[in-house]
Amino acid sequence: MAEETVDQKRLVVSTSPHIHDKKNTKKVMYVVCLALLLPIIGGVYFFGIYSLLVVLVSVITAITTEFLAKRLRKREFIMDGSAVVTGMLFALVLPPRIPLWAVIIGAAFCIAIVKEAFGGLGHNIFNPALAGRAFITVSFAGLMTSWIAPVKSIISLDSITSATPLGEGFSYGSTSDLYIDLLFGNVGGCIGETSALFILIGGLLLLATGVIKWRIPVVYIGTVFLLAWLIPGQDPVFHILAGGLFLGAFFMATDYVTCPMTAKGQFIFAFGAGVLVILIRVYGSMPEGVAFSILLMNAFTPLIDRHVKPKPYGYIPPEKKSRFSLKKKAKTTDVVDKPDQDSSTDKKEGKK
Amino acid sequence: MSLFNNEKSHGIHPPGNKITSNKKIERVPLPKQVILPLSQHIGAPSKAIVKKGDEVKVGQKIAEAGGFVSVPIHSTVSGKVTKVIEMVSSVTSNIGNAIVIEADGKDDWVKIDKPSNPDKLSKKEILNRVKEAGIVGLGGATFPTHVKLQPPPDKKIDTIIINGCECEPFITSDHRLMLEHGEEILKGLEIMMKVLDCNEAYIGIESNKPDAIENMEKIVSESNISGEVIVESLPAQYPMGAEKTLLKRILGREVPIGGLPMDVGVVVQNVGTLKAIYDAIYAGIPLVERVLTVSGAVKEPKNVISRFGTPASEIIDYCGGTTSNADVVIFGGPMMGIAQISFDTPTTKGTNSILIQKNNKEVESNCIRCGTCVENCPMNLMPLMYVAYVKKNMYDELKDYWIDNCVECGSCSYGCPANIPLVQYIKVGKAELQKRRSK
Repeated sequence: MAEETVDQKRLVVSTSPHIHDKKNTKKVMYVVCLALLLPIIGGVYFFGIYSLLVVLVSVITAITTEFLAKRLRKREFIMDGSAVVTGMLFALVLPPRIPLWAVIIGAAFCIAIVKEAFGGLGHNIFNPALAGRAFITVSFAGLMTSWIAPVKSIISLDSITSATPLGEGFSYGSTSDLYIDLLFGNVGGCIGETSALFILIGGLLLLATGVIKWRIPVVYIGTVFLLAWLIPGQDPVFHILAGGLFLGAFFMATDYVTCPMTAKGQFIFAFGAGVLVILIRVYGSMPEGVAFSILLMNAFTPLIDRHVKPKPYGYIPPEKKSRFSLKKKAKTTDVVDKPDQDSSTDKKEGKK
Repeated sequence: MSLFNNEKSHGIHPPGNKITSNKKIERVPLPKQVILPLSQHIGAPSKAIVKKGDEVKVGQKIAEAGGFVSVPIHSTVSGKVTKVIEMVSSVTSNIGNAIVIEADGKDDWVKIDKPSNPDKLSKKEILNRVKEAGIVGLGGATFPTHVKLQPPPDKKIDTIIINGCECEPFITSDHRLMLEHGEEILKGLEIMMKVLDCNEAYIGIESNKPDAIENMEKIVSESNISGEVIVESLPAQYPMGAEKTLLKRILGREVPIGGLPMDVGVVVQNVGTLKAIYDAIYAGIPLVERVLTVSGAVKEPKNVISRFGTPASEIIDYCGGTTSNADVVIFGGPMMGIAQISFDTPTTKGTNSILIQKNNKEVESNCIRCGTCVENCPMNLMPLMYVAYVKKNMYDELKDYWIDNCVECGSCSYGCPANIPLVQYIKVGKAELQKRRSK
């Protein structure tokens, strides 16, 4: 190199690019938390202050479990907000009067088994919150099916047993009487799933900040609507407003880790989940199928990602490709005299 | 808003930061010493034809082309060859030879071989002059221009695209060239159209340079150029200036994987290269200097013209020096530029910008499979798969995801919320595959 100059500062050398979008995992997670506050507020409003306790216990358990799991795995614990999101989501899909010990067991299961046992953030196959809910459902079926009617005042600990609209909705003469209540959330159900409006606002916040893409929620809800419309005797509007479809579509199915990465894959994923929801609700033995539809499609995600690749720029279908490669060979022999340098040539050419 | 982010809009929108766009091009004082690497272009390194102690003049050939895909190198100062050293290339980081010339400050030019009637030159003469002038693609990739101008006979070129996009943030050298040397650029285009027997040309300029678009449109309409020249305003989106993206945007054609634009009948050329072609044909001046932007953490960001081989520190000093905490020196733009190991690295033909920055890289965390890289990739690839496979040393699988199609534009790393340096993994993967192929 040139002669030593006075200013021999140490320079940082790294690969391009040297600038970065301001987005990072932590910010993404906290935006999701912010959006989730809306359904939480709805839950507290309709089912009383106890709901807030459930959320807090769930979040604290999730963070603690993550901390302990990282210790056991001898990994560094990073407070990236993902445990908070899992904790919040798990609490939102629980019945309003769930005992706290069940919340603790469930939240710990979400993090320790579903997430950390698979390798932590980014490696889990199933959505932790939904898998936790499924675990609690099969372990304590009684707890998970005792629903209450919305309470009169927030501080009330009343628990007037009630059914969820989906559980008994089909016995109503006309489900259309329920639309307004379903939209605002004045019905029985899980803490965070009853108010379609609150969830929609939270979901739009995620869309507006670019955290999620429109594809999964729109296709998922659209498929449910269309199928319910096609099947005689079903009310499509009731089907999309009732149960956990909105919460699932905006906050669970769109979970980065467990949904496909490509646009095409996301369409398949959302369509499949929509079909499963209707199959379970209409023909299955359970009143609600959102959780299982997403979990089942989660299992398909690796398969979808493996086989649904975007068509790359300049892709030529195989039979034409062989003809092209012959031509290319003929060309390289007479033009390029230094074959070991030529690949970089082609690539960076004309780039600025 | 990413509500309707469809397939056509792959790419990113980094802040432009074109702070030097209205600064006139200034000439940097002559350097006291220049270091001229023998490999300033893509292809075979040039062969030195001077030795220690030789007296040289400006524009004198000091190295000749080392093959067909290669160009000669000319001295950029007058003075004495003091030594031939080994140095790390500022582009590829390979070790190569470089000629060091001590300047005598007189700036004596070698006798210029100016053609008496430039318009009457035959194609062969033009090609020869372009090659002898040492012209390479000045957009940053430095591919020898004379090779691009003689496609194999089975490839008919029907369109020429002039790249004035300058999609990299900060850089404004092409922008200034189009404003200050528009006529020369058009003359250069005329020569190219003549050599390639081509009647159609597009000048692609991003819409964030309305003055350049206006200027070029004016020049084109006032000229009596034969053939059709269209100035095309393009959306300001990175990487619009990548030749494959540009080609698709303007003509709707896609270059086959592993192919070159000539496979679809197109030649893409940077505006700076056209200016160099004009200089070589009409004035007989070889390529010894270029316009570059000095920007970022410098006191007075500027567009300057400087001789090749000038140590970056001299150019930075001319621009008032760096601000106190800068610790990254980049040759090129922030998206694809190469970080240098020293302030004294000499500029080469491909250096279109010197960018000074404060290091702001963050630690890599787990991939959350958000798909931002897939969404951003202008080549429609799945960059995260490269990271996964390179981490597991499964290099052969990289080909299933068309790694050779990657242009290393950095859009994936730019948007990655987990701060994963995807381009670094891709470069590792490509290098390993290259090694296996040559075995």
